[in-house]
Amino acid sequence: MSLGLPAGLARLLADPLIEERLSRLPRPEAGFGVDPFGFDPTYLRHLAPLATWLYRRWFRVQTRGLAKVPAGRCLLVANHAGQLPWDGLMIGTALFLEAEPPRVVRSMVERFVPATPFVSYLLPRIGQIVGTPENARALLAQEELLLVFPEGVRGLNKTWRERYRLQEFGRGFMRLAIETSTPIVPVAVIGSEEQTPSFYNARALGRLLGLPAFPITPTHPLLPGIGLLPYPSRYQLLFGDPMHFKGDPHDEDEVIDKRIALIRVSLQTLIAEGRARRRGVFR
Amino acid sequence: MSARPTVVLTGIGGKLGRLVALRLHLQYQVVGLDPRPRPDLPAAITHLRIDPRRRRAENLFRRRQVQALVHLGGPRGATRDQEESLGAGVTGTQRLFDFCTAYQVPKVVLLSSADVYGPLPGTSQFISEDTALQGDLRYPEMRSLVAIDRMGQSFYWAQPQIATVLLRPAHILGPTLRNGASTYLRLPYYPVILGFDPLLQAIHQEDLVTAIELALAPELRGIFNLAGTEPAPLRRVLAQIGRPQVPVPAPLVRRAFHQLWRLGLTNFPPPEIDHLQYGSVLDTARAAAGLRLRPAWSWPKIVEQFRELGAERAGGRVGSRG
Repeated sequence: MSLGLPAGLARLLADPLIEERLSRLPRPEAGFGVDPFGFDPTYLRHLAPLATWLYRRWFRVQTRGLAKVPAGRCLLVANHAGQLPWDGLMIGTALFLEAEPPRVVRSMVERFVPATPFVSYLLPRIGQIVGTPENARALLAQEELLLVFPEGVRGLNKTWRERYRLQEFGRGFMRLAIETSTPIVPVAVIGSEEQTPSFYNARALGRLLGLPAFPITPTHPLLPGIGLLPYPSRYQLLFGDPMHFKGDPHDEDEVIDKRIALIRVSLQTLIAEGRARRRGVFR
Repeated sequence: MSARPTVVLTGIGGKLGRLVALRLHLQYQVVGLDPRPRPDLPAAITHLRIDPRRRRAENLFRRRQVQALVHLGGPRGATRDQEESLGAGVTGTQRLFDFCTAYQVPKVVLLSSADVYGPLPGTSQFISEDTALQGDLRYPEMRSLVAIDRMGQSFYWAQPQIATVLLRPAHILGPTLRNGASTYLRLPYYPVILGFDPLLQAIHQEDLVTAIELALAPELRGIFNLAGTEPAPLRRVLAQIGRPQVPVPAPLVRRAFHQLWRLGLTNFPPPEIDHLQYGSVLDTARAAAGLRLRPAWSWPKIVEQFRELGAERAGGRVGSRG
């Protein structure tokens, strides 16, 4: 099954740099081109042109400190915002386009995905798997780069009033990092808050429609179909220094929370730095 | 009679049973237990056409110094008749275990199946031997398979003087095997589920027989997942074999097969449809380290074999026993 873009659009987006980066990704051989998680780097050929266009032209992403991401296994911990996870796609695109060597960011998806037609295999082919602790452990054991948003939907679906305010963090990522002695690199995303500013989350309506949230934005639901497309706010990605944590992964929540607080402080500092640096939301 | 140690092998009437018998009889005195006929066995292999639940089976254990029991006799997948399969499979297994305890058989190898974990959506990618058995969660047809596996586990813990090995292989593939997976790969065209392409893992019959041989090592004990191949997307495996694929929507195929199965018009068990939709990948580290299994059959080799086989007619000949 091909999910190729229309030929004209594909030519427009064709980029020798993308081909060059793709050619430098390791190729699994044993399973007819997929790794044991179902990832097939050649599928990135379909996604990379659009992601690169969004990265360069739409969000005009500026990246700082990318070289701080260590080789080998690593957890990227980022703030989450903007109703739809374009922040995740931009972090992945940054690592693919600008890291040396190019890297694939793996991330984790909801449990309903494997039971949903088409995404059931398309998401694994581009490196996403179901978010269980065992899967995360297995990916890190394979020295992969894993992106987590510890705020989850609390961050993603928050309203304009709470922009750039970190919501409560889940604890799983910290226990995982301790258990697998994986360094954590905090990643601050600036710009995601403004891509889809939501005044109000009509939760009941969302539940009625079977959606995790129902944001009311200047354009949604006013303009059906396109109301949730992101505004071209300028993105900044700020990568912090790797942080290492030791101890007992099964410690009480309070002990884990103290370590998480260190990550929050680091992330908050990066966010403040990024916001101070920018000259305007769209500039 | 030679001085070779005696191995009692159940399920010798099946195709897989015959393969195991042929391999083991080079080293062991094989005595097969199976009411089904099996005319094409070498004379050196004894085949007793009796039900393991009967007294003549007990006599075998009482009179001979049995060194090992290799039990393949349980149902290998879904079973249509719950009462019959619980009777023959579960009670039969219990009887055999009782004989082994009573007559001090030092070794038991039980062939279970990775189907005991069941392909379920949303589980972790790699299934270790300690994963909960959920194979019968969605399908009562899988109950006796899971029940026998659990009996094997209890026996393993309750009888520490007996070196018990419990094997949970992925799909067993072979040119003549009649289980769901092998029969599917012999079809002239492949029905696949629209919008799904799960990871598929398998073990070739030769590698499985090798695993059983290795499991007979005297002191070895444990529960082992078995797979011979790396996981690969189902549709890429099928494309390599090179016959046409026909995508069908899941609800349609599911409903159709449940009806056909209920009416006895197909032998293709509905739970097997899940394998076309949800993948499961076994963690086989334990088999590599403990059993020292080095599979000889990778996907390209298996694909080659199935490509060369003539395509079978779809339908009635689809069977579920290995």
